[in-house]
Amino acid sequence: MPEPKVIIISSDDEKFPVDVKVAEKSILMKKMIEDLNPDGLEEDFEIPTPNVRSTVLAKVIEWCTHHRNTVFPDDDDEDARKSAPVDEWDKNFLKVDQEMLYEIILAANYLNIRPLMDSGCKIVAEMIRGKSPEELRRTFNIVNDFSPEEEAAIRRENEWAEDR
Amino acid sequence: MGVKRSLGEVDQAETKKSKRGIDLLDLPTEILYFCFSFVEPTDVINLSGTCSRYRTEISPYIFKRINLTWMELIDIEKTELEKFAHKYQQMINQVRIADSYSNGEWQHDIFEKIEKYMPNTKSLLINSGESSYWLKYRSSPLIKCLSLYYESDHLESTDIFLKNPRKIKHSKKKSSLRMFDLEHLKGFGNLTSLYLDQYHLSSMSDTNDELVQVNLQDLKLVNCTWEYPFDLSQFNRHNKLKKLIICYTDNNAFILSERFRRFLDHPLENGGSSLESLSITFAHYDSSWNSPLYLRQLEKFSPKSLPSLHILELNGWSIELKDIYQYTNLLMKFNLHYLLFSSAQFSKSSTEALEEAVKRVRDKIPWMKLKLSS
Repeated sequence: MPEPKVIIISSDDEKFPVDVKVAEKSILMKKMIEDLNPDGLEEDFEIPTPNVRSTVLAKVIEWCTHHRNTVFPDDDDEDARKSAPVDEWDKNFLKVDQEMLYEIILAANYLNIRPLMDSGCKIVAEMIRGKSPEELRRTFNIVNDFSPEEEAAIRRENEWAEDR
Repeated sequence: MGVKRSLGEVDQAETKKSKRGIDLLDLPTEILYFCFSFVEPTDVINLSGTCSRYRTEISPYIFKRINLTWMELIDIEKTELEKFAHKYQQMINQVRIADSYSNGEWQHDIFEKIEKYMPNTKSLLINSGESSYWLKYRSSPLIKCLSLYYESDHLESTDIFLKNPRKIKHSKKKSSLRMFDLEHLKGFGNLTSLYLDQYHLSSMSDTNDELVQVNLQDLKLVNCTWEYPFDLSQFNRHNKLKKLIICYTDNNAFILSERFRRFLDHPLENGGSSLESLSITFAHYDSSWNSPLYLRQLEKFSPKSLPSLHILELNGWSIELKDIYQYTNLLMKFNLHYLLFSSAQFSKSSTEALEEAVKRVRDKIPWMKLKLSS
């Protein structure tokens, strides 16, 4: 008999059969599998993810499959998590349009996949780092709706914001 | 057929989403702020100035901590700071007074101003060039965290400066002794966290009769010295101190003194039962100054004197990798969850050797996370 699979179902009802080991990269799914199958999986187990559409879910599963054997620093080791540079594979994997990037982060948050969340947020940070307001508007497609007077007032207020 | 249909559905979903269009601000606030934690504050300040929607969303992040000058605070009614403080009142949590102005310390009660205009302030950082006696005449129930530091290469608010603003260059180190006495904080009854930079600690006043009602939980001392009869346990009269950080950033002869040895031999004298986290750092020391971490020293941090200690960080001590194995038996008797040894000597060892040491310690003490860094 083949190993029972975890069937992850996207919001648009697409079914993704994966190995338990892949699904368990998500702490949410790991807990569900453990709680509802205390003696281990005996048959296929369906998990609906009503917040995640299929294209995003496919990406998330691709990540989990690639990292099925990766050992990550403990979730509670803030320092190690924060200082670790983004893995090269993750960097390429996250070369997607912004909307997809945000949706992957949201999915990783919902499914509780800390290392994917961390990589995604570090990529967002890269997009913000070292840019002028004008450059930021171009990066994030923001339309400036301030009058010159308002912009001057903002610059004055910003003087008080702690910059260290 | 089935495949085709599902692809069609995906396309449909794709276009539907694109029309709605999610952007950076659709991330939940805590995730957004987590992204910000990887960049400089100025980057976030710039982002907040891009449009009104971003401004509204990000203001709580950038104005949680503000910095201002003595004169702005003293003359707040006359400056735009009043309007600013009113607008962001709810958000302002930390205030840093960036210039040092000792005349102002004695002449003006800034705490009144802060209470009135920034009533949510919990944390106050003051650039202060002289002793802390002036604080004896101040009080505030607001302040939970107080930091007294000194930076003279910032524009100094001297009276001359106020009329003629210019950047005055000074050395960062204060040559005169800046005195600090716990009694100076008797007006700050809600203080739980204290950070002192380059002070000489004393207890000249007879504070034993009139117990200072300060229940410190967190104490950080950078380049601080003290002399008999003062000892650090005076910061922990009520046995509430949980976290103690002591750091010396240059070749400070104090660490060779009898007073400092006394602290190492009897940390917090006999009153350290509340202490959960201890960190002692000698940064940028000449190698000849480095004091070796002997087994005898490590014993002083044992549960016998510090029964609640869970976190221990020893930076800049001289430790050989081979000694780690020797320490393991002693460390088994500790209740540590986290132990950091950082020593220049480790750079001589290979990464594999360090990992092997960590692994061997973990096998014997599985509840403790050991970190070795050079």
